[in-house]
Amino acid sequence: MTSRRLLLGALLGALTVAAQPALALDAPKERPILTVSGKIGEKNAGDVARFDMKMLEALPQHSFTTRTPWFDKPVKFTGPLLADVLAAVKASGSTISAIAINDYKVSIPVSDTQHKLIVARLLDDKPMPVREKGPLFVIYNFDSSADLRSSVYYERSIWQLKALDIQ
Amino acid sequence: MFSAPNLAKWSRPQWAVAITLLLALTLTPLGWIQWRQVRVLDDMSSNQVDAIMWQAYQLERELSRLDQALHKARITPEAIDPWALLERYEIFLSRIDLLTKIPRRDLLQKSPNFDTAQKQLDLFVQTADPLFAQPEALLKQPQSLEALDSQIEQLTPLLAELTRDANRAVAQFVDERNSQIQEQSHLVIGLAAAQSVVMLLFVGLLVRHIRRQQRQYQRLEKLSQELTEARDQAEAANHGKSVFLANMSHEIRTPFQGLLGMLNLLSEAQLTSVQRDYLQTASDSAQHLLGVLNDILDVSTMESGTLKLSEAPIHLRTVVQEVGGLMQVTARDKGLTLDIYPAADLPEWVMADATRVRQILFNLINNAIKFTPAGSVMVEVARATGAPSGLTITVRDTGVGMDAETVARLFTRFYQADNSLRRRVGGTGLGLEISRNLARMMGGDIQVSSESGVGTVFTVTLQLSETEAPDTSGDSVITEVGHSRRLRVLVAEDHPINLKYMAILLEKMGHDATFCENGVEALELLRQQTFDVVLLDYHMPLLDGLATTEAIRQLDGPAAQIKIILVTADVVNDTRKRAQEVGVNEFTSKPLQAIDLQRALGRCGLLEDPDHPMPGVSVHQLSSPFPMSSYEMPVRLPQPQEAPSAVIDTESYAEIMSMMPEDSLGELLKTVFEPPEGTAHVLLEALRKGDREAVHYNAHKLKGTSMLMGFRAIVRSSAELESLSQDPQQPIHISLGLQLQRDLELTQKALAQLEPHTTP
Repeated sequence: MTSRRLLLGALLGALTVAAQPALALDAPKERPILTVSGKIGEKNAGDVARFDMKMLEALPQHSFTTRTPWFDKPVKFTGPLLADVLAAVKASGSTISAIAINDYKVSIPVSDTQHKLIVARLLDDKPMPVREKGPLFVIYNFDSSADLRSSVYYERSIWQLKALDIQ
Repeated sequence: MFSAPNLAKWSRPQWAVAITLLLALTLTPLGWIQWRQVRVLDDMSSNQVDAIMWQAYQLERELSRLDQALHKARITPEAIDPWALLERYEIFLSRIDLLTKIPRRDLLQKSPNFDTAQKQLDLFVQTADPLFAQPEALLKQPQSLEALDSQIEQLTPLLAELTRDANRAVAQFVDERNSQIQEQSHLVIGLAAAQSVVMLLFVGLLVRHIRRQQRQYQRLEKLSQELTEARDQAEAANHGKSVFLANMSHEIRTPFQGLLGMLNLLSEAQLTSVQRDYLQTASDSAQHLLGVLNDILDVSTMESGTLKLSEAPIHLRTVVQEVGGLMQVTARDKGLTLDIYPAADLPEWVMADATRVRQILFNLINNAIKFTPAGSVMVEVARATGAPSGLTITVRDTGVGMDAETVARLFTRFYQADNSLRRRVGGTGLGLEISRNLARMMGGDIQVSSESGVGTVFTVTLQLSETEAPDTSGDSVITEVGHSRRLRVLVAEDHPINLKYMAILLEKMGHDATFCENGVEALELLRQQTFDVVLLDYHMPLLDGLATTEAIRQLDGPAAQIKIILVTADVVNDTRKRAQEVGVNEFTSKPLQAIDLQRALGRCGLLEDPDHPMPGVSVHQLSSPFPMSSYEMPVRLPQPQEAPSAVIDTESYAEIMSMMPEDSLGELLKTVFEPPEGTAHVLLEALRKGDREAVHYNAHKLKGTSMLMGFRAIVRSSAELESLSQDPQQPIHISLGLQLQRDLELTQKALAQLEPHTTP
């Protein structure tokens, strides 16, 4: 656990240094769509950090195509890594409480970031409206590993994400 | 019926195929079932089948929350955030897709309610979408809100029903999956059972196979035990037979010696030529028979492993020449030339059993002569290349030869080269076997190479170590028959004929003999009288030779020290060794001969004045009238025209020589052979002239001299001439003259060969 945390710290540190110019976390210029609270080092709105779509778009983008239980065909997800989002706010907790617009709530261990899970903002290269489970969708690359194809990770894949609380 | 395959006959590939087949048969369905199960489980987890119920419930719940929001909006439109209302609507819409566009929506589509609900949802969306395009405006239109509300009211029971359908569908799915798994489990159990049965079958086969092998092993063990017993029995029987054979030979020899001795004595009596001829034939036949007996005895002693070589220094060249000389007669009779070539570098004296070396030579040369109708027989004796003490004797003939098959079977017992020849040449068929055994005992062997119609080469290799010339002073007495002192001899001999023979022999040798029939009597006589020497027969009733010797050695006084000579026909060395241990001084072999006895007496130190030392022990053994083997005496067929093989009675001649000064012997020979005055030449002259009276006179004269000298052949031919010339009616055929001439030549030749060894 300790070593993992150290590794994560190192990773976060490296990302912090790499993304230094963009990281004086500016206040959102548009309507904020994601709020990060809890054990974080960077804040831009009182006690929390808020992100608008532009800010998330500014982070390094990742894509993968995978099958899911919620779409009848493989779909492509694009967005920043959850790890990058956490790094942007200098998060230091071990558990993330993810909350959806409809108040669905699920707990994601920080260690899951090793699975390269992303905070998807594009579905098949198109922005997602709420009616299509948007605007943000925390998604694992289920096709990359059979271990991920279990209810634990399906449950952690939260759509219509609106807030992250780092504990 | 099912017949079990014989597993023992299966090879490695067959086993591999069988095992692979068995594994494939049982594991393939198992694998397929497992794969099916993995697929089902994968479908379960990756498609979150059981989540359908949750999705349906969530849809119903979101509808209810939208309904509440709209309700609030109708009552207090100013307190409602239009964007929040829109969001609520949007969330509800997202829920529709989660139920209608998921991979396993088919589970729900089966429900009849599904289509109705979907249609109603589409209708609702069609109505709501334009209204929610402007949420702020919507809040100000109560009738629109009411319309939406009424539609929601229609939707609510449908979605509730859909939730129940989802619940049923999932339950049904789980049921189906369960029954599927159950079915597969049954299949797995069945397969496992089948596999077990097949394995049991296999194990059963293996067990059966092992049991069968064990039984077979036991049978083999039992069989081998039986075979061992049978072999032991056979060996015992065979040994018994050998012992019996040896005993029988021995038993037959004893009366035979008497017979031969008597014949020998008879030949010295005054006989007519016809009687003499009969006697000669009887003697020859008896000698041949004795030779055959000796062969059998040899083989049986070899078989029992008791035959031992008695090695002594022998003069090799002499031994070879002697045998050659003797066989020369036979060869000449058959019109063959026999050449003996001893190599110049031959060792002079070697350690060997002269008798046995001679036996091999006799056998091989005799064989060569037998199977050579014309041409020559050549004997070469040389040092073997390589081995330091090795000798090679090669006997080469230009005879009928043998084919490869015959050569291969040549040394087999009783095998005779050509069955058709058997009657003509005779022989026991043991000769080659004996010879080869003897050669092997001497560290060598006999090889043969032959070509049918060209000839045969026998090669004998022997390992005979070179030695110093022996001190011959002990043997010098043999010629001193006439000069030795008169001995008091006690003879213990139970056989009446032998007894008689020995009486005459000892009398001739000039000794005083006292006779008794057994050891007990001998002991009694020794207590009463004084003797110089005791001759004991080995086989005697009451007390045999060895027991008597032991008893004598335990007598009181000087009688215990008396010299004892054991007379035995036993060739087995063990007997001699035992005899020496109990105190026997010397041995003479049966049949007893003057020379042997003389030599034994000499070795006992009982004869003085060894005036003429004579080298070469072997020479005198050669003069034995008794053959060692049937091969020493070529078979003589009882036709008168067949020339005799032994032209001279060497014993008689040797005795004459020992009794006569050398010059007077020469004189005597001259009176016979020297032309023109010699009796033989005078007789031949008379024959040419046809002077019957002169023939009769000279034939009688020649016969007399020849009888004295032991010239058997001349005795026979002259006796015939004498008797024929007596009757004027009988024509004297020219062939008789030729016969006489040939006998004369043969005799002279034989004399020439005896001469160099008898005069130092």
